Amino acid sequence: MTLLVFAHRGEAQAFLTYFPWQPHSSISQLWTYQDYALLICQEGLDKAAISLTQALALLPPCQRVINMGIAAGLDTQVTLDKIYEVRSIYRQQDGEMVFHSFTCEQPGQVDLITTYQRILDPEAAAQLTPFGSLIDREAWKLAQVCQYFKIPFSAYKLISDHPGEGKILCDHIKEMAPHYSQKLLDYYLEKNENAGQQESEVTHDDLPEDWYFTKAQADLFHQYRQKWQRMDYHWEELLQRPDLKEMKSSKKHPKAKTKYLLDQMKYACNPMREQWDQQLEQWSKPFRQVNAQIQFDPQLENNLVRLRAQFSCADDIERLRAALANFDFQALNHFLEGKSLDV
Amino acid sequence: MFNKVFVENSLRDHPRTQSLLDKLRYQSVQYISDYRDVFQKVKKPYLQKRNNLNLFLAEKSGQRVKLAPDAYGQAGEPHYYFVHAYNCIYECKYCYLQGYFHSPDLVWFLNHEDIINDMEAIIRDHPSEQGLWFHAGEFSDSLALAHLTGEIPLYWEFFGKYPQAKLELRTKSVNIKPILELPPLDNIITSFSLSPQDITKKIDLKTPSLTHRLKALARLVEKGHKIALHLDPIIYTPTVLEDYTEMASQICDAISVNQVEYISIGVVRFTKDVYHQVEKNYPESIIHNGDFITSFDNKIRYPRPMRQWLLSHIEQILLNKGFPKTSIYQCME
Repeated sequence: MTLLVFAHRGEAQAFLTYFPWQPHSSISQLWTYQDYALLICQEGLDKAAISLTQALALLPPCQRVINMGIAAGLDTQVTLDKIYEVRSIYRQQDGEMVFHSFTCEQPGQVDLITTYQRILDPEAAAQLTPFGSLIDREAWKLAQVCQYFKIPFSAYKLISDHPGEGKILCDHIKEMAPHYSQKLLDYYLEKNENAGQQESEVTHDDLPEDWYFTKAQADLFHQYRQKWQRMDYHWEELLQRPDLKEMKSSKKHPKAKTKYLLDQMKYACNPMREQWDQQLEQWSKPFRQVNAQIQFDPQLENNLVRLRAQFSCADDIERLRAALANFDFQALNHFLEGKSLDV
Repeated sequence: MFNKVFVENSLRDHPRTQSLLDKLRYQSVQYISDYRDVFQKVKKPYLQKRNNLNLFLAEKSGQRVKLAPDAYGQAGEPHYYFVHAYNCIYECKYCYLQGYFHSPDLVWFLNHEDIINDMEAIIRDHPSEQGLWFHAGEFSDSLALAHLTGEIPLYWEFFGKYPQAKLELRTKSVNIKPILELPPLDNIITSFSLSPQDITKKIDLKTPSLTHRLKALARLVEKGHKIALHLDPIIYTPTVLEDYTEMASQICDAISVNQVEYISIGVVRFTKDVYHQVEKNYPESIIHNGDFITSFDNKIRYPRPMRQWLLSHIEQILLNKGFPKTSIYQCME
């Protein structure tokens, strides 16, 4: 679902008449139509945050949120009555810039500053010019909510005025609202057509057929597949390898078969990894055979080895002693220095 | 080139400011009281350096010359770096600057005389029989824009007076004209960071090719200037050893092994913040093919056996080409 967010009804009016919206049963300022929703979040950061959070909680999963509306233009880089796609969103509160910023999904042309209070004084506006070209009252908070919900956020803003032009300007903006809203609708319809095309290009991840994957294994598969793509490897070819075919037709547990497949993908990315996995297994095995377990530093940064063992008779101690005596500590040091690797 | 140039009020009439504003291309100039009122005040996305890069002309206050961390340079002598600029025009995908200042905007400090005075104080406090090092380019490429910033002759003159102090100018650029216009000094070394051509193309965005860098260093050597090499960061690929063998041959074709003052080798590493930035900014990069771990110093690195394997094999490649063992050192390991 795509959620369109406006601060004021005046900005949304052309959208409200263009689509046959149905009012949402729980939120008065929310409407839905097919795979779209429209929210009037009201002006100001707090109201915007509460409204959007409530809408996202009640609506079916949203794929993107688009904030549209008017904004004040701070400098000569932006032209009145023109729509701009926002690049980054900054925030000012109590006269100070807030460090955290948000970046919109689309590439964007200009940066926007969301202010807690209305900027009516040209001097206050001048202090904001180093950081952006537009001012609004809600986008930063909307972007923050979207980040929490992990939903891509975009903003398109129409320049209605320059700050500091006072009450007369407010009346003028009200008068101009139908025009602004129609411009935003035209812009959105044009953009939306393109956006739809982009969405259709997204391919969905597929797991290899007839292999069982746990959720964690599926995540790993996708991770390795990305690496393989970057390295121009084709995982489909891997499945044709005799050892993989043999593994697939074996009677092993499905999860173990998939583990083997994932290991092969991992080792292809980094052949050293296969060697050190084998080496560590070779050192671990004799200890497992005597009911003991040795554990190497998981990051392989140092030669600290932990030993955990159980014994219930003198023979157990003897066997453990033998396993320890056979453990080649010098070989471990060599291994950590990369000396026993051969790629 | 620049969107906005911010100039500190105190530098409004500084001759260097005027000279720079005449030379640079920008949309607008804005005068501010202190660059810190704007720079780093908000988190500006790193990739905005591609289309929304600002420049600050400022004075560096506070610590202008800093002691470098252990394993920064060749062991045995103290190493310092001086801060005359922040950020870089290049876009190397592993670069720690993408997570360091939280802004890609360039800052050029114009008070080079203050930096030089600070270095002079350190040299005077230092035993005269022992050498010491100063490095430029910790937070920026020290030559990439030197034809505009114009500070190289000042440092040349200063280091000419103190032969026991060495200056290293680290670069990935081929902008050697400002150096070629000056007489060679034994204590000034231009060091080039090199990676195999394929890595340079895929990772060191907007930087000159390996071939061009090798031509630049050969030209400096030909004119009697001292040069050094940084084979850092080494990034693992399935062909890493072949690629470094080929690059070593290319280096030897360009210059003779005994014309290199020193070679540092280092394996790719990140702080956690930088690594997250790299993941965010370059999710498709081949850098992510490596298995990374959090290492002894909380940096993100390849596991130790892999790092050591890379370092020892690449060192061996250099030794096989005839580079003296004493000229090779491992950086930050």
